[in-house]
Amino acid sequence: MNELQVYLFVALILFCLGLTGVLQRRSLIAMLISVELMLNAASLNFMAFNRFLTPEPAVGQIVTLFIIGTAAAEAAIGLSIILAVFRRYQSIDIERARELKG
Amino acid sequence: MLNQVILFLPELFFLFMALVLFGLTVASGEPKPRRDYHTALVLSAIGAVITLGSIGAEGHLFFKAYRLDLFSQLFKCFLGFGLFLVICISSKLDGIAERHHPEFYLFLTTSTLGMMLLVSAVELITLFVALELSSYSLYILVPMRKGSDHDSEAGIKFFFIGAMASATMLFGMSYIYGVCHTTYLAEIMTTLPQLIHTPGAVVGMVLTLCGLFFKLAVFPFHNWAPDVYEGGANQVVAFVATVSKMAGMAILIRLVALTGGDSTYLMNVLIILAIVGMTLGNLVAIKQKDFKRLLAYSSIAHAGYVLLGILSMSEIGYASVIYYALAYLILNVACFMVLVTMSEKGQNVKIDDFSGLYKRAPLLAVTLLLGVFGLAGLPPTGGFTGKFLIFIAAIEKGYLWLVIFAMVNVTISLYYYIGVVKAAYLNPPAEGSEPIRISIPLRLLNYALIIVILWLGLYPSTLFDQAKIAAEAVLAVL
Amino acid sequence: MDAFLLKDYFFILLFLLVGIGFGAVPLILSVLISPKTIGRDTLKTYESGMIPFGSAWVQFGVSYYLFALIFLAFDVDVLYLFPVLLAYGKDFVIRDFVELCIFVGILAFAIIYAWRKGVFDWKELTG
Repeated sequence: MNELQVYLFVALILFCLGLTGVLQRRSLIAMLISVELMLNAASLNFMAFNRFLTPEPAVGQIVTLFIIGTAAAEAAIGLSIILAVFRRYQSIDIERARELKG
Repeated sequence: MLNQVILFLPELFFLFMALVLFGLTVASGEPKPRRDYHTALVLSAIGAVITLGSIGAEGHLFFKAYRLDLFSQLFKCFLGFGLFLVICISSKLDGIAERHHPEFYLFLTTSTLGMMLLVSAVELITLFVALELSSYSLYILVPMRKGSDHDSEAGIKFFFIGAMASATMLFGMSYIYGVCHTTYLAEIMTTLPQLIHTPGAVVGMVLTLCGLFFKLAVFPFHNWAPDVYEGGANQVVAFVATVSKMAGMAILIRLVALTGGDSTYLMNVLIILAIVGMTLGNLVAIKQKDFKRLLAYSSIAHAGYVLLGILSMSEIGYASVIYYALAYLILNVACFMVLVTMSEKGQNVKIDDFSGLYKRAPLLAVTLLLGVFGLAGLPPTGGFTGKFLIFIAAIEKGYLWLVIFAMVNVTISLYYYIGVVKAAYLNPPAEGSEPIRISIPLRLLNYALIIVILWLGLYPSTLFDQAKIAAEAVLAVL
Repeated sequence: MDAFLLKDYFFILLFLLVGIGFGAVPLILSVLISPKTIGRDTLKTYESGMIPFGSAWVQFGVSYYLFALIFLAFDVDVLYLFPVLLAYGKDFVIRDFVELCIFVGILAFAIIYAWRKGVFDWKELTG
């Protein structure tokens, strides 16, 4: 295994962990953390490709900066919606919020 | 410099509009819903005219990360008019607390601005940031509904499925970057077609498309649609169902065009998603009682038809999708206008509530008839022509069996669409229901929508020619 | 794997072991030397020496959350100033300055919004 593959492998594991987290976890905060894991996996991929493959030195790093910034905005929006859910159901368990069906 | 400003004028104007609306959100004193409504209406009307005027613009901006061509300008015009129409039907905005009206208009505007940047973006970072700008605004709009028990639940589902889809999209983009070593679509377009048979490129492309599948409510990312449609305020849902869907279609065309058109794996994935999406949407829509929920499932099915046009990967296919996008926008606006007018306090409308609509408001009944028949794909509406063009494009590429399958689906969908029309025309009005009063501007809007629906159905050639030129612009080397 | 990689990973291994040691040693020590009886106060929540009162699950003032959210957004957005630092003043000084002002100005709108909506109005929120 060369170095690039190690990074790609780690990123893939992170991504899969995040995906299972979002689908399996019942706590909204844990789901949010899992989404962040998925985003970090993408960042890691960008950085690794940038370091080992591309001639242009900065593009992957800029992408990562943008991912970090948008992830923070996403977390802020997500947390405020979670707060609204908490106030209504007194819980952050996703099972409580399942009235819409059909 | 000045030249560049003129090229960027539509986006600048919508940014200005967002600033004005931001001013309204922080203005002191009692909430003034009429003032907010009129400001937003006038500004969005000007914005729509500006987008119409900038249709011929061509050029590159921001180190070639941003491209103006007929394709992007045509879609900007659709988006501008879409926003205008949604704001038109917001005159009776009972679904949202009065003190939050400026925020409602503000986020509609920023979302539209994001979509405008999206259709012009030809670089992966720009594309991603624009997509997120439009999605984040929608995440905030959905849980804004007043006095509803379901809005925050719908909001949280929308948010998580959206966040998951955009993370998946980024992961896919990272593979595309790894394969092509660049983030510029123009360079990707020259290298990707040779590499499209390598696993990295296929996986990257499929994962990247996931983000757009979310916007369009294509099969694996469709779960949010019914709940958001039911839980969100009527006008917000109208926006999500029309303008947001259209931006998704636009960028889907842009990205699929990158692959060069002979990727068997990608084709197979798209075919499977189209088949499952159409069938699932239409079958589940049959048992719906709530009109918005019905429209949600029908939108899942419609995403399947759109994929059919896209997977023919030809100029005609893309042009037909552009045409279909416009028809879909107008038809959905017509349905939502009837829905908004029917719902007195901003509540949801059941299909049974349409009973006797032809007596209570004949004009609304006609608009509803045309809108619903258009969605079903019956002539002489725009929906029929759009579907017809898409099916022809698919047959030309040899997907006859797929088109037959889609036709069977269209027939299934007729069942529930006709259920709505039956309620409006054949069922007697409920006891004690009064005629619905329609104001003069709303009456004009009704006539305009009816004319456009029929025009799109009967005289498609002018617009379709434009759409073909726009599709050429996408396929030309960027 | 070449020697270069192994050397890098050796440091990580070392770091990991030291980190585990920092966590494990106090735990083992406390198991060895702590008294083994369980009294009335053993299972009480430890709150800096005070006797705890009430439930920990009280509703906090919503202003705390709002402050946290505003912090979250701003703290990360400053990140974008770092790449600007690298490119600043290379070719067009005035243009760079104006662009920076626009960026920070748009960020400032968020503060204006929070301020006008009374997030910083401490009295109103604790009441």
